[in-house]
Amino acid sequence: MLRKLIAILFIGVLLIFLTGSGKSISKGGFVPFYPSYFPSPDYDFINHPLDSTVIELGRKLFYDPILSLDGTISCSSCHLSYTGFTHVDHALSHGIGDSIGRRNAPALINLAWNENFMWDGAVNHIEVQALAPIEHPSEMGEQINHVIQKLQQSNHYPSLFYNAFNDSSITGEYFLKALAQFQLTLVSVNSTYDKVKAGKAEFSVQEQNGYTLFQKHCNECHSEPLFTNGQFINNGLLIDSLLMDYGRGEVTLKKEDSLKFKVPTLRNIEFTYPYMHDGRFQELSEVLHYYCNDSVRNTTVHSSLRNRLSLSSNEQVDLIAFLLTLTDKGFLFNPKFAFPK
Amino acid sequence: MFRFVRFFFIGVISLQFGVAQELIKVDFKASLNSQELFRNVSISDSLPEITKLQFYISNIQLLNNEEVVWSDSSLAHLIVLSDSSESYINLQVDPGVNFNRICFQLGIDSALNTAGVLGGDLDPTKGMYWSWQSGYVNIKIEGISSAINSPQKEFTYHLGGYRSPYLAVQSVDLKVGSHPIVLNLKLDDFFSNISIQQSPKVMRPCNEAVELSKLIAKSIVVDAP
Repeated sequence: MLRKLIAILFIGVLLIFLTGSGKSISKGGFVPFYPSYFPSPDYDFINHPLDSTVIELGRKLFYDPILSLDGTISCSSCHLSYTGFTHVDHALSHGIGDSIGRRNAPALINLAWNENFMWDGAVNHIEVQALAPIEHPSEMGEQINHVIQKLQQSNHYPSLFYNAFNDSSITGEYFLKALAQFQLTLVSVNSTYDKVKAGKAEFSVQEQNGYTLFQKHCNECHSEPLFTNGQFINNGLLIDSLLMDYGRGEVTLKKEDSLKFKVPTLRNIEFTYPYMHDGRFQELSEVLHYYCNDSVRNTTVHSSLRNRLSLSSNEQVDLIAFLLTLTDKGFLFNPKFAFPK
Repeated sequence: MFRFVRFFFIGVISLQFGVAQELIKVDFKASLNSQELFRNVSISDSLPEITKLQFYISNIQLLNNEEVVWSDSSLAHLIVLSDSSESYINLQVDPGVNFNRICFQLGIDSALNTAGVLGGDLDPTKGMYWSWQSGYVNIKIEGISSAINSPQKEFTYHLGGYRSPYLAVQSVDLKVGSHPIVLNLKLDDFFSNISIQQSPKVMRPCNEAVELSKLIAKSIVVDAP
């Protein structure tokens, strides 16, 4: 009898010793698909794999206005899935209490390839980006510790966080990781352009003309296949005298960074109007008109834009036809990215 | 067979519990004009009243002369001087380890500042992380002084910065004798070297944040336990 008891205890202790102390078991990492002509993502999917339960929690949080002080503004208020996760109603996003911000909401597309975040690169990692709009007085107007308290007091979030992180606490770390993981899944790699690249479709003559013009005039900053080189560029926009926004220069405090803003992606550009960091252009034709006629040559303007672009009207139409091939309807209407049911 | 099982069982159990470690307490306090802060002692009106003083320490090491004899396995600790339960840390050290120096960083280094979101004492809910620009606030000092011209007479120093040229994290290296180790931030030099009237607020990475961080690091001395 005693021998049996000790044998059972022995096996029990051995099992505890061997299986560790209740850490969550990896549920299989998710790595989004991207074509071979894409560079490797900046985000380390191998060592920080995504998890489907965490992604779903992040999606729920993304669409929940509980993140804002008065419960009216969610991430999706300014980052709508059908319009490339940006805001088309306003040049400058507005936040709680009808306050107006300073900048146009950037499109959340292919963020895994970003080295830094926001128009001025003030944020260095996707996991800490959400803090900026949450705590901005003209956006969500909240404080992160108060958001966590609200989630802890809610009926459903404690169990959702437990299922995702195997921990009975809701922390700032878990909250931000969930939001980041959802946003990392927002990958757009299946536009008409991508189908042409994969040999599954062909450009029309007009689109091909436009592509040739694009490679000549635009590719240096809006580099394929991400359609951004991720750099901070001054593209000659005259400063808005009310907003007085110096962009990257406000972060680094360096003169050479004055009036520079992150080159945005042109993927899904058909749907991510209005354009530029302050949303001053409503239509792509206005953008091209600007580059051909109105750009200002101030001191930090990019070398490729020291002279205005020279494009005939036909050429401008062809270029726009090419830009429309960057639309990825599968991305824009993906039910996995939309409001969770 | 039975004997083997018995000894194996005892062996496994003792491995689980390990050898008992010693706790070396590192206690932080701050003082101005020889009076300890946050002790409900009334401070003279001519001196600034400090309402908040908290900071990160990281990469703690204990050394015996030049040899590192212990390194912290935690990434960082948040010291909150106004809260007696958060103004000290316990280092878990094997018994019999001799040391005569303690080294640490006052603040968070660049590697942790670029590692994404972190937890525990580094969780952004601790109120020591800038939301508008990535980066930890290494040191927060807030208070009131009659010398300041604004109506609230407040001074606010949120000192941080991890990117060149504004690297605010400071190294501290002190000789220690016995333990518990009591580290005292003697702030007299800090306040005599700054003009809180001219610069009552420093809240972003900049030259001043670096200079103020250096003054705080220099203010730390070892008190007798």
